Amino acid sequence: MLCQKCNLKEANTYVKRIINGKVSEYHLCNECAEKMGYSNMMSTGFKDFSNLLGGLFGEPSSDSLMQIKRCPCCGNSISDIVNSGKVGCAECYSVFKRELMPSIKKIHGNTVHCGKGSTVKNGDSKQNDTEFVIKDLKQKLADAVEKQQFELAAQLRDRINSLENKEDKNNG
Amino acid sequence: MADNNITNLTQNDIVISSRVRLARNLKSYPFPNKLNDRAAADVAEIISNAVISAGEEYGKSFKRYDMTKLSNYEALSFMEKHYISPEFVSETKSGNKKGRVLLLSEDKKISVMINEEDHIRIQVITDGLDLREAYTIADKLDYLISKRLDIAYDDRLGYLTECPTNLGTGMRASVMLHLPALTRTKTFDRISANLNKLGFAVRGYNGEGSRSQGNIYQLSNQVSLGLSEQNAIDNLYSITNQLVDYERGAVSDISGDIYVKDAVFRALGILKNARLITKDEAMNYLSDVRLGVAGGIIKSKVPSTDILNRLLTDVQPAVIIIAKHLENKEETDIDEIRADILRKEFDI
Repeated sequence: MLCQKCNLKEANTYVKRIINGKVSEYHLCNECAEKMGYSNMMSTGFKDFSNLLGGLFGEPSSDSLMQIKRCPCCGNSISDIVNSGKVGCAECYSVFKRELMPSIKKIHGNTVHCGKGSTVKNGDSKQNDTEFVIKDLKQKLADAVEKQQFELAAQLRDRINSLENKEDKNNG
Repeated sequence: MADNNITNLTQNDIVISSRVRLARNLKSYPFPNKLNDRAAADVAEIISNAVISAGEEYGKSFKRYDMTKLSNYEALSFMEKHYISPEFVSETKSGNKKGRVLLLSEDKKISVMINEEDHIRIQVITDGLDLREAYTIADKLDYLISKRLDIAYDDRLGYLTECPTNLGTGMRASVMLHLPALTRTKTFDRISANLNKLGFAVRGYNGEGSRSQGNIYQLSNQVSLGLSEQNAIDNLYSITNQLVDYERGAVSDISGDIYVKDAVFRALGILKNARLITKDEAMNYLSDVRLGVAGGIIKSKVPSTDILNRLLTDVQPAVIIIAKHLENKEETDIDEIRADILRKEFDI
Protein backbone atom coordinates (compact mmCIF):
# COMPACT_ATOMS: atom_id res chain seq x y z
CA MET A 1 0.00 0.00 0.00
CA LEU A 2 1.23 3.49 -0.80
CA CYS A 3 1.59 6.21 1.81
CA GLN A 4 -1.73 8.00 2.11
CA LYS A 5 -0.04 11.37 2.43
CA CYS A 6 2.50 11.53 -0.38
CA ASN A 7 1.10 8.62 -2.39
CA LEU A 8 4.61 7.99 -3.66
CA LYS A 9 6.41 5.78 -1.19
CA GLU A 10 5.45 2.46 0.26
CA ALA A 11 3.64 2.91 3.59
CA ASN A 12 5.48 1.31 6.50
CA THR A 13 4.00 3.18 9.43
CA TYR A 14 0.55 2.28 10.58
CA VAL A 15 -1.28 4.90 12.62
CA LYS A 16 -4.43 4.05 14.50
CA ARG A 17 -6.22 6.84 16.32
CA ILE A 18 -9.10 6.46 18.70
CA ILE A 19 -10.88 9.67 19.55
CA ASN A 20 -14.13 9.45 21.51
CA GLY A 21 -14.33 5.81 20.58
CA LYS A 22 -14.01 6.55 16.87
CA VAL A 23 -11.24 4.58 15.21
CA SER A 24 -9.35 5.94 12.24
CA GLU A 25 -6.49 4.15 10.54
CA TYR A 26 -3.78 5.52 8.29
CA HIS A 27 -0.85 4.08 6.44
CA LEU A 28 2.10 6.41 6.04
CA CYS A 29 5.68 6.23 4.87
CA ASN A 30 8.54 6.91 7.30
CA GLU A 31 9.20 10.39 6.07
CA CYS A 32 5.62 11.62 6.10
CA ALA A 33 5.05 10.07 9.52
CA GLU A 34 8.05 11.94 10.86
CA LYS A 35 7.05 15.19 9.17
CA MET A 36 3.63 14.90 10.77
CA GLY A 37 5.22 14.53 14.17
CA TYR A 38 4.46 10.92 14.70
CA SER A 39 7.96 9.81 15.55
CA ASN A 40 8.26 12.10 18.56
CA MET A 41 4.59 12.44 19.32
CA MET A 42 5.02 11.86 23.04
CA SER A 43 7.38 14.77 23.49
CA THR A 44 5.67 17.35 21.30
CA GLY A 45 2.35 17.34 23.04
CA PHE A 46 -1.24 17.35 21.96
CA LYS A 47 -1.10 20.15 19.43
CA ASP A 48 1.13 18.19 17.12
CA PHE A 49 -0.89 15.09 17.64
CA SER A 50 -4.08 16.72 16.47
CA ASN A 51 -2.27 18.01 13.42
CA LEU A 52 -0.95 14.57 12.68
CA LEU A 53 -3.18 14.15 9.68
CA GLY A 54 -3.02 17.75 8.58
CA GLY A 55 -1.09 16.69 5.52
CA LEU A 56 -3.88 14.47 4.30
CA PHE A 57 -6.17 17.42 3.83
CA GLY A 58 -3.75 20.26 3.19
CA GLU A 59 -2.29 22.51 5.87
CA PRO A 60 -5.19 24.37 7.40
CA SER A 61 -3.43 25.74 10.47
CA SER A 62 -1.42 28.23 8.41
CA ASP A 63 -4.52 30.15 7.38
CA SER A 64 -6.58 31.48 10.23
CA LEU A 65 -9.43 32.55 7.94
CA MET A 66 -10.06 28.99 6.88
CA GLN A 67 -10.40 27.91 10.49
CA ILE A 68 -13.31 30.27 10.95
CA LYS A 69 -15.21 29.19 7.84
CA ARG A 70 -17.84 26.67 8.84
CA CYS A 71 -20.22 24.53 6.85
CA PRO A 72 -23.73 26.00 7.25
CA CYS A 73 -25.25 22.53 7.17
CA CYS A 74 -23.22 20.53 9.71
CA GLY A 75 -21.09 23.18 11.39
CA ASN A 76 -17.78 21.55 10.49
CA SER A 77 -14.68 23.62 9.90
CA ILE A 78 -11.90 22.38 7.66
CA SER A 79 -9.81 21.56 10.72
CA ASP A 80 -12.66 19.36 12.04
CA ILE A 81 -12.48 17.45 8.76
CA VAL A 82 -8.70 17.28 8.91
CA ASN A 83 -8.68 16.07 12.50
CA SER A 84 -11.31 13.39 12.05
CA GLY A 85 -10.40 12.40 8.49
CA LYS A 86 -14.12 12.47 7.80
CA VAL A 87 -16.26 14.92 5.89
CA GLY A 88 -19.31 16.15 7.82
CA CYS A 89 -22.01 16.31 5.16
CA ALA A 90 -22.63 16.58 1.43
CA GLU A 91 -22.57 20.38 1.64
CA CYS A 92 -19.01 20.35 3.04
CA TYR A 93 -17.76 19.25 -0.35
CA SER A 94 -18.89 22.51 -1.93
CA VAL A 95 -18.08 24.73 1.07
CA PHE A 96 -14.51 23.36 1.35
CA LYS A 97 -14.05 22.47 -2.30
CA ARG A 98 -10.81 24.43 -2.65
CA GLU A 99 -9.31 22.89 0.49
CA LEU A 100 -10.41 19.33 -0.23
CA MET A 101 -9.63 19.07 -3.94
CA PRO A 102 -5.84 18.60 -3.61
CA SER A 103 -6.25 15.63 -1.28
CA ILE A 104 -9.01 14.12 -3.42
CA LYS A 105 -6.65 14.34 -6.36
CA LYS A 106 -3.95 12.70 -4.24
CA ILE A 107 -6.21 9.82 -3.25
CA HIS A 108 -7.72 9.02 -6.65
CA GLY A 109 -5.33 10.63 -9.11
CA ASN A 110 -8.42 12.21 -10.60
CA THR A 111 -11.14 14.69 -9.66
CA VAL A 112 -13.85 14.00 -12.22
CA HIS A 113 -16.39 11.26 -11.69
CA CYS A 114 -17.19 8.95 -14.52
CA GLY A 115 -19.56 6.11 -14.02
CA LYS A 116 -23.13 5.87 -12.84
CA GLY A 117 -25.00 9.13 -13.31
CA SER A 118 -22.01 10.92 -14.74
CA THR A 119 -21.71 12.88 -17.94
CA VAL A 120 -18.61 10.94 -18.94
CA LYS A 121 -19.90 7.65 -20.17
CA ASN A 122 -16.77 5.59 -20.20
CA GLY A 123 -13.46 5.77 -18.38
CA ASP A 124 -11.50 5.26 -21.56
CA SER A 125 -12.89 8.19 -23.43
CA LYS A 126 -13.00 11.44 -21.55
CA GLN A 127 -15.35 12.63 -24.23
CA ASN A 128 -18.48 14.31 -22.98
CA ASP A 129 -21.70 12.61 -23.74
CA THR A 130 -23.76 15.34 -22.20
CA GLU A 131 -26.43 15.33 -24.85
CA PHE A 132 -27.28 11.72 -24.13
CA VAL A 133 -27.47 12.40 -20.40
CA ILE A 134 -29.63 15.50 -20.85
CA LYS A 135 -32.03 13.53 -23.01
CA ASP A 136 -32.23 10.86 -20.33
CA LEU A 137 -32.75 13.44 -17.59
CA LYS A 138 -35.49 15.19 -19.58
CA GLN A 139 -37.33 11.90 -19.91
CA LYS A 140 -37.03 11.37 -16.14
CA LEU A 141 -38.22 14.95 -15.57
CA ALA A 142 -41.33 14.32 -17.66
CA ASP A 143 -42.01 11.14 -15.67
CA ALA A 144 -41.54 12.95 -12.38
CA VAL A 145 -43.94 15.73 -13.38
CA GLU A 146 -46.49 13.20 -14.50
CA LYS A 147 -46.26 11.41 -11.15
CA GLN A 148 -46.38 14.80 -9.36
CA GLN A 149 -42.97 14.18 -7.74
CA PHE A 150 -42.18 17.85 -7.78
CA GLU A 151 -39.19 17.75 -5.47
CA LEU A 152 -37.50 15.23 -7.74
CA ALA A 153 -38.56 17.22 -10.79
CA ALA A 154 -36.97 20.36 -9.37
CA GLN A 155 -33.68 18.53 -8.82
CA LEU A 156 -33.75 17.07 -12.30
CA ARG A 157 -34.44 20.48 -13.76
CA ASP A 158 -31.48 21.94 -11.81
CA ARG A 159 -29.20 19.22 -13.10
CA ILE A 160 -30.37 19.67 -16.69
CA ASN A 161 -29.84 23.43 -16.41
CA SER A 162 -26.35 23.06 -15.01
CA LEU A 163 -25.42 20.52 -17.68
CA GLU A 164 -26.82 22.70 -20.45
CA ASN A 165 -24.92 25.72 -19.14
CA LYS A 166 -21.74 23.66 -19.01
CA GLU A 167 -22.24 22.49 -22.55
CA ASP A 168 -22.91 26.00 -23.79
CA LYS A 169 -19.66 27.09 -22.21
CA ASN A 170 -17.81 24.22 -23.85
CA ASN A 171 -19.30 24.97 -27.22
CA GLY A 172 -18.89 28.70 -26.85
CA MET B 1 -5.56 -19.25 -20.43
CA ALA B 2 -7.93 -22.14 -19.77
CA ASP B 3 -6.52 -24.99 -17.75
CA ASN B 4 -7.64 -28.57 -17.55
CA ASN B 5 -8.10 -28.21 -13.83
CA ILE B 6 -10.90 -25.72 -14.25
CA THR B 7 -13.91 -27.52 -12.98
CA ASN B 8 -16.22 -24.62 -12.60
CA LEU B 9 -16.81 -21.54 -14.74
CA THR B 10 -16.76 -19.28 -11.72
CA GLN B 11 -13.43 -20.80 -10.58
CA ASN B 12 -14.88 -21.20 -7.12
CA ASP B 13 -12.07 -23.50 -5.99
CA ILE B 14 -9.82 -20.41 -5.93
CA VAL B 15 -12.25 -17.49 -6.02
CA ILE B 16 -14.41 -18.19 -3.00
CA SER B 17 -16.76 -15.25 -3.44
CA SER B 18 -17.27 -11.89 -5.14
CA ARG B 19 -18.59 -8.79 -3.47
CA VAL B 20 -19.79 -5.38 -4.61
CA ARG B 21 -20.43 -2.58 -2.15
CA LEU B 22 -22.01 0.79 -2.97
CA ALA B 23 -21.79 3.76 -0.57
CA ARG B 24 -24.64 6.28 -0.66
CA ASN B 25 -25.77 9.17 1.52
CA LEU B 26 -28.89 11.19 2.01
CA LYS B 27 -28.54 14.75 0.79
CA SER B 28 -30.45 16.40 3.61
CA TYR B 29 -28.75 14.82 6.65
CA PRO B 30 -25.17 15.16 7.88
CA PHE B 31 -23.02 12.06 7.41
CA PRO B 32 -23.15 9.46 10.24
CA ASN B 33 -20.14 10.92 12.13
CA LYS B 34 -22.07 14.18 12.59
CA LEU B 35 -25.49 12.70 13.38
CA ASN B 36 -26.87 12.84 16.89
CA ASP B 37 -28.75 9.79 18.19
CA ARG B 38 -32.13 11.16 17.29
CA ALA B 39 -31.23 12.13 13.74
CA ALA B 40 -29.50 8.76 13.30
CA ALA B 41 -32.73 7.03 14.32
CA ASP B 42 -34.67 9.18 11.82
CA VAL B 43 -32.19 8.32 9.07
CA ALA B 44 -32.51 4.62 9.94
CA GLU B 45 -36.31 4.78 9.64
CA ILE B 46 -36.30 6.71 6.37
CA ILE B 47 -33.78 4.39 4.73
CA SER B 48 -35.27 1.16 6.13
CA ASN B 49 -38.66 2.05 4.72
CA ALA B 50 -37.17 2.97 1.35
CA VAL B 51 -35.11 -0.23 1.12
CA ILE B 52 -37.99 -2.48 2.14
CA SER B 53 -40.26 -0.79 -0.40
CA ALA B 54 -37.53 -0.94 -3.09
CA GLY B 55 -37.11 -4.62 -2.25
CA GLU B 56 -40.81 -5.23 -2.80
CA GLU B 57 -40.59 -3.67 -6.24
CA TYR B 58 -37.52 -5.82 -6.93
CA GLY B 59 -39.21 -8.97 -5.62
CA LYS B 60 -36.77 -9.36 -2.71
CA SER B 61 -37.84 -9.32 0.89
CA PHE B 62 -35.58 -7.91 3.58
CA LYS B 63 -35.43 -8.68 7.26
CA ARG B 64 -34.57 -5.83 9.60
CA TYR B 65 -32.07 -6.12 12.48
CA ASP B 66 -31.43 -3.23 14.85
CA MET B 67 -27.79 -3.63 15.79
CA THR B 68 -28.27 -2.39 19.35
CA LYS B 69 -30.79 -5.17 19.94
CA LEU B 70 -28.55 -7.99 18.73
CA SER B 71 -26.38 -9.89 21.21
CA ASN B 72 -22.61 -9.57 20.76
CA TYR B 73 -22.37 -13.11 19.44
CA GLU B 74 -25.21 -12.60 16.97
CA ALA B 75 -23.51 -9.45 15.67
CA LEU B 76 -20.14 -11.22 15.45
CA SER B 77 -21.64 -14.18 13.63
CA PHE B 78 -23.08 -11.75 11.03
CA MET B 79 -19.59 -10.36 10.60
CA GLU B 80 -18.08 -13.83 10.26
CA LYS B 81 -20.65 -14.55 7.56
CA HIS B 82 -19.58 -11.27 5.93
CA TYR B 83 -23.08 -9.75 6.04
CA ILE B 84 -21.65 -6.75 7.91
CA SER B 85 -18.27 -5.08 8.34
CA PRO B 86 -16.11 -5.44 11.47
CA GLU B 87 -16.55 -1.70 12.02
CA PHE B 88 -20.33 -2.03 12.08
CA VAL B 89 -19.98 -4.53 14.95
CA SER B 90 -17.26 -2.90 17.02
CA GLU B 91 -18.75 0.54 17.24
CA THR B 92 -22.18 -0.84 17.98
CA LYS B 93 -20.70 -2.82 20.83
CA SER B 94 -19.14 0.21 22.45
CA GLY B 95 -22.62 1.71 22.48
CA ASN B 96 -21.85 5.12 21.01
CA LYS B 97 -23.55 4.53 17.69
CA LYS B 98 -27.31 4.46 17.61
CA GLY B 99 -29.46 4.06 14.55
CA ARG B 100 -27.43 1.23 13.07
CA VAL B 101 -29.69 -1.09 11.19
CA LEU B 102 -29.00 -4.09 8.99
CA LEU B 103 -31.42 -5.13 6.27
CA LEU B 104 -30.69 -8.64 5.08
CA SER B 105 -32.35 -10.24 2.06
CA GLU B 106 -34.00 -13.62 2.45
CA ASP B 107 -31.34 -15.37 0.35
CA LYS B 108 -28.66 -13.56 2.49
CA LYS B 109 -26.93 -12.30 -0.64
CA ILE B 110 -27.86 -8.65 -0.23
CA SER B 111 -27.23 -6.68 2.90
CA VAL B 112 -27.85 -3.01 3.45
CA MET B 113 -26.00 -1.44 6.37
CA ILE B 114 -27.57 1.78 7.59
CA ASN B 115 -25.42 4.36 9.43
CA GLU B 116 -22.13 2.57 8.99
CA GLU B 117 -19.50 5.03 7.72
CA ASP B 118 -22.11 6.21 5.19
CA HIS B 119 -25.89 6.35 5.56
CA ILE B 120 -26.35 3.50 3.09
CA ARG B 121 -23.99 0.66 2.28
CA ILE B 122 -25.47 -1.78 -0.23
CA GLN B 123 -23.53 -5.02 -0.35
CA VAL B 124 -24.07 -8.00 -2.64
CA ILE B 125 -22.11 -11.24 -2.31
CA THR B 126 -22.09 -13.98 -4.94
CA ASP B 127 -20.35 -17.37 -4.99
CA GLY B 128 -17.20 -17.77 -7.06
CA LEU B 129 -16.01 -15.16 -9.55
CA ASP B 130 -19.24 -13.42 -10.42
CA LEU B 131 -18.65 -9.71 -9.91
CA ARG B 132 -20.89 -8.67 -12.78
CA GLU B 133 -23.86 -10.49 -11.30
CA ALA B 134 -23.11 -8.90 -7.91
CA TYR B 135 -22.91 -5.46 -9.51
CA THR B 136 -26.10 -5.94 -11.52
CA ILE B 137 -28.04 -6.74 -8.36
CA ALA B 138 -26.48 -3.87 -6.36
CA ASP B 139 -27.06 -1.44 -9.23
CA LYS B 140 -30.71 -2.40 -9.60
CA LEU B 141 -31.39 -2.09 -5.87
CA ASP B 142 -29.50 1.23 -5.80
CA TYR B 143 -31.67 2.52 -8.64
CA LEU B 144 -34.86 1.50 -6.85
CA ILE B 145 -33.67 3.04 -3.57
CA SER B 146 -32.61 6.29 -5.24
CA LYS B 147 -36.07 6.62 -6.77
CA ARG B 148 -37.36 6.86 -3.20
CA LEU B 149 -34.66 8.96 -1.56
CA ASP B 150 -32.76 12.15 -2.22
CA ILE B 151 -29.18 10.93 -2.63
CA ALA B 152 -26.12 13.19 -2.26
CA TYR B 153 -24.56 13.44 -5.71
CA ASP B 154 -22.31 15.98 -7.35
CA ASP B 155 -21.81 16.26 -11.10
CA ARG B 156 -18.07 16.46 -10.71
CA LEU B 157 -17.36 14.30 -7.66
CA GLY B 158 -20.10 11.72 -8.19
CA TYR B 159 -21.64 10.12 -5.10
CA LEU B 160 -20.63 12.07 -2.01
CA THR B 161 -19.30 9.97 0.84
CA GLU B 162 -18.09 10.53 4.39
CA CYS B 163 -14.58 9.41 3.51
CA PRO B 164 -13.13 11.00 0.35
CA THR B 165 -11.58 7.61 -0.56
CA ASN B 166 -15.06 6.45 -1.66
CA LEU B 167 -16.04 9.47 -3.79
CA GLY B 168 -17.16 8.94 -7.37
CA THR B 169 -18.85 5.61 -7.87
CA GLY B 170 -18.89 4.88 -4.13
CA MET B 171 -18.10 1.36 -5.21
CA ARG B 172 -15.71 -1.21 -3.83
CA ALA B 173 -15.65 -4.47 -5.73
CA SER B 174 -13.71 -7.33 -4.22
CA VAL B 175 -12.95 -11.01 -4.59
CA MET B 176 -12.01 -13.49 -1.87
CA LEU B 177 -9.11 -15.56 -3.12
CA HIS B 178 -7.59 -18.77 -1.75
CA LEU B 179 -3.91 -18.73 -2.78
CA PRO B 180 -2.03 -21.44 -0.86
CA ALA B 181 0.62 -22.20 -3.51
CA LEU B 182 1.48 -18.55 -4.17
CA THR B 183 1.69 -18.00 -0.42
CA ARG B 184 3.86 -21.09 0.17
CA THR B 185 6.30 -20.10 -2.57
CA LYS B 186 6.38 -16.52 -1.17
CA THR B 187 5.37 -15.28 -4.62
CA PHE B 188 2.26 -13.56 -3.31
CA ASP B 189 4.20 -11.04 -1.18
CA ARG B 190 5.92 -9.81 -4.31
CA ILE B 191 2.73 -9.75 -6.38
CA SER B 192 0.86 -8.02 -3.59
CA ALA B 193 3.30 -5.05 -3.56
CA ASN B 194 2.72 -4.61 -7.30
CA LEU B 195 -1.03 -4.87 -6.94
CA ASN B 196 -0.97 -1.90 -4.57
CA LYS B 197 0.86 0.15 -7.17
CA LEU B 198 -1.79 -0.77 -9.74
CA GLY B 199 -4.59 0.59 -7.56
CA PHE B 200 -5.73 -2.61 -5.87
CA ALA B 201 -5.84 -3.27 -2.15
CA VAL B 202 -5.00 -6.65 -0.65
CA ARG B 203 -6.59 -7.37 2.71
CA GLY B 204 -7.24 -10.24 5.09
CA TYR B 205 -10.20 -12.55 5.46
CA ASN B 206 -12.46 -10.02 7.16
CA GLY B 207 -11.55 -7.04 5.00
CA GLU B 208 -9.99 -3.79 6.18
CA GLY B 209 -7.50 -4.16 9.00
CA SER B 210 -7.83 -7.95 9.23
CA ARG B 211 -5.15 -10.57 8.72
CA SER B 212 -5.18 -13.45 6.32
CA GLN B 213 -6.69 -16.70 7.56
CA GLY B 214 -6.00 -19.98 5.83
CA ASN B 215 -4.22 -18.31 2.87
CA ILE B 216 -7.34 -16.36 1.97
CA TYR B 217 -7.06 -12.78 0.79
CA GLN B 218 -9.48 -10.07 -0.22
CA LEU B 219 -8.53 -8.15 -3.35
CA SER B 220 -10.39 -4.92 -4.13
CA ASN B 221 -10.27 -1.77 -6.26
CA GLN B 222 -8.92 1.31 -4.48
CA VAL B 223 -9.83 4.05 -6.90
CA SER B 224 -13.48 5.05 -7.19
CA LEU B 225 -13.22 8.52 -8.73
CA GLY B 226 -12.47 8.86 -12.43
CA LEU B 227 -13.03 5.19 -13.18
CA SER B 228 -16.45 3.83 -14.09
CA GLU B 229 -17.99 0.87 -12.26
CA GLN B 230 -17.66 -1.18 -15.41
CA ASN B 231 -13.98 -0.38 -15.84
CA ALA B 232 -13.16 -1.03 -12.19
CA ILE B 233 -14.89 -4.42 -12.42
CA ASP B 234 -13.21 -5.28 -15.72
CA ASN B 235 -9.82 -4.48 -14.17
CA LEU B 236 -10.55 -6.64 -11.17
CA TYR B 237 -11.64 -9.52 -13.42
CA SER B 238 -8.48 -9.33 -15.44
CA ILE B 239 -6.21 -9.25 -12.35
CA THR B 240 -8.19 -12.05 -10.71
CA ASN B 241 -7.94 -14.26 -13.78
CA GLN B 242 -4.19 -13.67 -13.90
CA LEU B 243 -3.84 -14.55 -10.21
CA VAL B 244 -5.90 -17.71 -10.74
CA ASP B 245 -3.56 -18.71 -13.56
CA TYR B 246 -0.47 -17.98 -11.43
CA GLU B 247 -1.93 -19.99 -8.58
CA ARG B 248 -2.69 -22.97 -10.82
CA GLY B 249 0.85 -22.78 -12.19
CA ALA B 250 2.32 -22.64 -8.68
CA VAL B 251 0.13 -25.57 -7.58
CA SER B 252 1.49 -27.81 -10.34
CA ASP B 253 5.04 -26.65 -9.52
CA ILE B 254 4.86 -27.70 -5.88
CA SER B 255 2.46 -30.64 -5.94
CA GLY B 256 5.31 -33.15 -6.38
CA ASP B 257 7.16 -31.83 -3.31
CA ILE B 258 7.23 -34.40 -0.50
CA TYR B 259 6.84 -31.68 2.17
CA VAL B 260 3.72 -30.42 0.46
CA LYS B 261 2.32 -33.94 0.14
CA ASP B 262 3.06 -34.61 3.78
CA ALA B 263 1.33 -31.39 4.90
CA VAL B 264 -1.72 -32.21 2.77
CA PHE B 265 -2.17 -35.74 4.15
CA ARG B 266 -1.51 -34.65 7.74
CA ALA B 267 -4.22 -32.01 7.33
CA LEU B 268 -6.64 -34.56 5.93
CA GLY B 269 -5.88 -36.95 8.80
CA ILE B 270 -6.50 -34.28 11.41
CA LEU B 271 -9.75 -33.05 9.84
CA LYS B 272 -11.00 -36.66 9.71
CA ASN B 273 -9.95 -37.64 13.22
CA ALA B 274 -9.27 -34.78 15.62
CA ARG B 275 -11.54 -34.23 18.63
CA LEU B 276 -10.55 -30.62 19.33
CA ILE B 277 -9.72 -28.05 16.63
CA THR B 278 -9.16 -24.30 17.02
CA LYS B 279 -10.37 -21.92 14.34
CA ASP B 280 -6.86 -21.13 13.10
CA GLU B 281 -6.04 -24.84 12.80
CA ALA B 282 -9.27 -25.49 10.94
CA MET B 283 -8.62 -22.67 8.46
CA ASN B 284 -5.05 -23.85 7.83
CA TYR B 285 -5.91 -27.55 7.44
CA LEU B 286 -8.84 -26.77 5.16
CA SER B 287 -6.43 -24.73 3.06
CA ASP B 288 -3.94 -27.63 2.88
CA VAL B 289 -6.69 -30.05 1.83
CA ARG B 290 -7.88 -27.68 -0.90
CA LEU B 291 -4.29 -27.46 -2.11
CA GLY B 292 -4.14 -31.27 -2.11
CA VAL B 293 -7.28 -31.47 -4.22
CA ALA B 294 -6.10 -28.78 -6.67
CA GLY B 295 -2.71 -30.46 -7.06
CA GLY B 296 -4.19 -33.92 -7.57
CA ILE B 297 -2.39 -35.12 -4.41
CA ILE B 298 -5.56 -36.38 -2.72
CA LYS B 299 -7.19 -39.10 -4.80
CA SER B 300 -9.75 -40.22 -2.23
CA LYS B 301 -13.14 -38.60 -1.88
CA VAL B 302 -13.28 -35.26 -0.08
CA PRO B 303 -16.14 -32.78 0.41
CA SER B 304 -17.13 -30.81 -2.70
CA THR B 305 -15.82 -27.30 -3.33
CA ASP B 306 -19.20 -25.89 -2.31
CA ILE B 307 -18.99 -27.65 1.05
CA LEU B 308 -15.35 -26.68 1.54
CA ASN B 309 -16.31 -23.07 0.88
CA ARG B 310 -19.21 -23.26 3.29
CA LEU B 311 -16.99 -24.76 6.00
CA LEU B 312 -14.82 -21.62 5.99
CA THR B 313 -17.80 -19.85 7.55
CA ASP B 314 -19.13 -22.80 9.55
CA VAL B 315 -15.92 -23.13 11.59
CA GLN B 316 -15.91 -19.47 12.73
CA PRO B 317 -16.40 -19.17 16.50
CA ALA B 318 -19.48 -16.92 16.76
CA VAL B 319 -21.18 -18.83 13.93
CA ILE B 320 -20.77 -22.04 15.94
CA ILE B 321 -21.88 -20.39 19.18
CA ILE B 322 -25.10 -19.10 17.60
CA ALA B 323 -25.83 -22.25 15.56
CA LYS B 324 -25.39 -24.55 18.58
CA HIS B 325 -26.61 -22.20 21.33
CA LEU B 326 -23.31 -22.20 23.22
CA GLU B 327 -23.39 -18.63 24.57
CA ASN B 328 -22.20 -19.67 28.05
CA LYS B 329 -19.82 -22.47 27.15
CA GLU B 330 -16.01 -22.64 27.41
CA GLU B 331 -13.69 -22.29 24.45
CA THR B 332 -12.77 -25.98 24.51
CA ASP B 333 -16.42 -26.90 24.01
CA ILE B 334 -16.45 -24.82 20.84
CA ASP B 335 -13.25 -26.52 19.66
CA GLU B 336 -14.90 -29.87 20.28
CA ILE B 337 -17.99 -28.97 18.27
CA ARG B 338 -15.83 -27.53 15.50
CA ALA B 339 -13.99 -30.87 15.28
CA ASP B 340 -17.36 -32.69 15.18
CA ILE B 341 -18.60 -30.48 12.32
CA LEU B 342 -15.43 -31.13 10.32
CA ARG B 343 -15.34 -34.91 11.01
CA LYS B 344 -18.93 -35.22 9.88
CA GLU B 345 -18.21 -33.54 6.54
CA PHE B 346 -14.96 -35.46 5.98
CA ASP B 347 -16.43 -38.84 6.88
CA ILE B 348 -17.27 -39.80 3.30
